[in-house]
Amino acid sequence: MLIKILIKIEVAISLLLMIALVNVLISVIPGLMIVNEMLLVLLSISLMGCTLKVQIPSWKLERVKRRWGKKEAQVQQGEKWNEYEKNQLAPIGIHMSMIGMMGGSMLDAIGGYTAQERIGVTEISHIQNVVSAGYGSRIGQEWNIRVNEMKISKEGEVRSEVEIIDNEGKSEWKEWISVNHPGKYKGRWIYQTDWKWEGVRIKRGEKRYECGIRGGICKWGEERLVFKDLSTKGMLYKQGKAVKEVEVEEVMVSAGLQIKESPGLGMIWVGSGTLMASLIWLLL
Amino acid sequence: MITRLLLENQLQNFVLTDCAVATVTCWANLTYWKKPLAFDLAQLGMILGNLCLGSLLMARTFHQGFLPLSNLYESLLFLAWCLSFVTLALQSQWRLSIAIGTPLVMLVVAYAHWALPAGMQLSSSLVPSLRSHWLTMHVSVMIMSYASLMMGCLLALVYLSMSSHPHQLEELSYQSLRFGFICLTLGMISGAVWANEAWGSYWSWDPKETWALITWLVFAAYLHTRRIWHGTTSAFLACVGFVVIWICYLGVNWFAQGLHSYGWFVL
Repeated sequence: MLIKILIKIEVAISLLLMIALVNVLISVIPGLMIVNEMLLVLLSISLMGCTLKVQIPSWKLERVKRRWGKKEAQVQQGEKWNEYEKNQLAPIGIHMSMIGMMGGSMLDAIGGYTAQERIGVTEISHIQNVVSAGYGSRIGQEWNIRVNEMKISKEGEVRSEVEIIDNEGKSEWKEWISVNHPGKYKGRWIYQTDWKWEGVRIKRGEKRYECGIRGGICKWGEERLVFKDLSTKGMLYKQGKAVKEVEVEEVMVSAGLQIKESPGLGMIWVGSGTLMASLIWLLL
Repeated sequence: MITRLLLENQLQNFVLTDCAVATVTCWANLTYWKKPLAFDLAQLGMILGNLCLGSLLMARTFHQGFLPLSNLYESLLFLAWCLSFVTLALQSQWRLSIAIGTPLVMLVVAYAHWALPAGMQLSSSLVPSLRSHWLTMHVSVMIMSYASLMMGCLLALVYLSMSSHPHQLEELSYQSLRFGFICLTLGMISGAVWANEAWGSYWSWDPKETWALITWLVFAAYLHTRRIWHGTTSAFLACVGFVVIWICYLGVNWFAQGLHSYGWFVL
């Protein structure tokens, strides 16, 4: 019954416009996402119904028409015969790809997750800080991420070498990643989102100290160690006066990483490809 | 540097004058003279304007080493170029298209020329997330789609306002909108691929993305309406689409700052 209403083209058009309207509201007041999702479910039912009950029968009829001539086809379908549509396959392709893409994003919503980790260079971490996860997703604890090294170019581009290590400490995979060049391994995507200068390690006399850095300044009792940029040389200030340049042993930086798994991605790209192909076939 | 800026300024001034003269010629011709020659002259003016905008963009490309699409000023100039291109393409089928195209190009260039702060007209280096080949692909296709959709919508508006409702004009508007819709889809998909590489998610309900989806839905509805309420209803929907495109291109940035805020300035 619902399908019979939803496959009507008038209903489909109003559904499209309704989703557009709800999205207008969403861009102003967030929080209506649930309405949007419900409408998208209705749209996918409508797409599916239209493809199965209207488009495919009409395509079959088109073949009858080709074989027996137009008149026979008109007799078969009666007054509903629609001569307007010439290309029968491309609209089916468009609807199927839309369904595929929606299915892919549904799969992502159920089985995918996104996590964010801040990992210091040379440190190892599990996936702990999960931002969003579908209820069917499985966040594996049998693997760890290690950030081996980080390089910052003069143009400000940050690159990190990340490594995936299993719980026995065996390396499974490693790669240099940066913004726009994420690492991919077994369906896991690892992105460089940002980086942070955590602190420096200084040797004074015989002892080694660690000192946290905020805004390029490292506080040390009465003394201040000021760094102009990310280098191993800082200027030592005592009561507001520059004393001497100090070389630090090590600069400690951490990488902000985003880790995600998205099982529907393949389906979405295939859907996008076929959508594009059938749109060009139909409309160009 | 100074000479390049002066040259850019001169070229913009020329395009503005050129489009203004062409607009006046067209409109005066529509009301008084009514000779086809005037439209040919306007077309010549449009070709000149197109070439000037093209060389302006080329000069910037060679100077920067990438296509100038990274801020609002550059995207406006590219939009003006696309609009003149689409107008010239439509001109071959309907002579009067030029009377709609020239004022639009003029307005877009005037906005880029006068309304934007001078600092924004300088070229700057790209932020890391924009340094990708997808920038050229995504932004150019998107702006081409805006231009094609805008022209199609304006043709639909003219169709509605003419009492005879010429069928040919509706068909032409449909052609332009179809091409725009294909470009819009391609632009959105390429954007999704790029976002998946750069932001870690192919769709993040960013205001700009949401409005691109709204535009897409409105024109998808238009393409469906054309099958049943072919004519005034579909043309009316196309006119609604015109407003939606402008909100998607410029309006979004007024009320929402999102991931796409590169192409904007803070007042």
